[in-house]
Amino acid sequence: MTTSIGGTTGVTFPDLSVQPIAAGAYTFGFKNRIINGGMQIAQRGTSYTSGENNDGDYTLDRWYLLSDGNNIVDITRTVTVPTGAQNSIGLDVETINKKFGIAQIIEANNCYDAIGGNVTLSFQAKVSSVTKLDNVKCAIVAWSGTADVVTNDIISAWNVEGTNPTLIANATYENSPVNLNVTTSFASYSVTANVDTASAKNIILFIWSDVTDTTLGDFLYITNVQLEKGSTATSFDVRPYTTELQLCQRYYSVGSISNGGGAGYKYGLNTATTMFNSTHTFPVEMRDAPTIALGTPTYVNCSTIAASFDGTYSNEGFLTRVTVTATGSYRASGTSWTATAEL
Amino acid sequence: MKYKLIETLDGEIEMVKRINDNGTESFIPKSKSNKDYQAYLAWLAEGNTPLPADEGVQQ
Repeated sequence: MTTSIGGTTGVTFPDLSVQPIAAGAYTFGFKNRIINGGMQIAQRGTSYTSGENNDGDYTLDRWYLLSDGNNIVDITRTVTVPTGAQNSIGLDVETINKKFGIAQIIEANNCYDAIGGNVTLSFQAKVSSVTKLDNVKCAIVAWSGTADVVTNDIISAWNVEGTNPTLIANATYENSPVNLNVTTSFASYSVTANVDTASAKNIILFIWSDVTDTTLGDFLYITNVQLEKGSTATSFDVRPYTTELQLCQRYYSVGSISNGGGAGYKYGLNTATTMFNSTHTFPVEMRDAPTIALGTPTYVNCSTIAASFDGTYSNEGFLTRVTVTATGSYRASGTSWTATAEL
Repeated sequence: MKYKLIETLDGEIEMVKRINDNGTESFIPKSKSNKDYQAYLAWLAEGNTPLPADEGVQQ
């Protein structure tokens, strides 16, 4: 067997493998600028219902909800997937007759080289029924405000069914969103656009249902979302799970106050004194000094746990302090922390 | 939702504590690229005032 070139099949190698298209210029390295496009990473949880599914809420890592109101759709990480995928994001209609979708803001550091040229968005999707959920669209949006200071709610008006939402100032559609005619079977969809808005700094991906007569329980499933340079949609770039998790941890991470210094006892000399409790290092350097949220710990001879950066805020870690309530050994432990530095 | 100032050991304002409507608390660093701090600045610009920092001994 020798290598052969066919006019319609492409290049056939001696092992009978076939390369149907030329290798793209951007198929190596950080090909897919979307993080968690396969919807695997769910540090916040795998299900988001009332109270957790408000317009603008972050859900599966890096993905946030855009909807015409709160509690429009429940969000779940599902195993309803096309061949070769592990997870999808499922958007389940909870409040009928409202538009909804998901979006991801790409950090300027990760898209500066794509701005000014063609980019291609691709993903796989299906709906549970096309009776009502019959107009799904996608958009590549340029942000021309300050880099990485993006207003999450890029929608100023959702508009009537079939009319694309109006975007806020500094947000611009780079493609002309049209009905993708998503069916009840998974299929691949792609759009290409030139990101040519002057002074664009960030790229935002937005996939949404553009209908206003939905039925309770309708589902939209989306997975394998990819944004790459060039005008051709190539195969979804499956990265190692650890790599994908670490990419997500730049924006959101979780940890335990049972680890590190939090587990050991300290000795309090005075009561009613704010003293050191524990130190915590983020799994990866975060995008920015994050907002810290703490659970309720088990207190021993202390109370009122608080986060601190010890004077200088940091994207590498933080510490906690407590108010000592009795002279002697003290500690606060047995709970978790979250750190948020989303765009 | 309310905000409360948090001091460093040296008495400088280090962070802002956001007391959420559900009772949970978030500690927000004074980084202008932090989205929650941006929201706090916008809240201040609307004429709101945060709760003062607690007074007490720190070590």
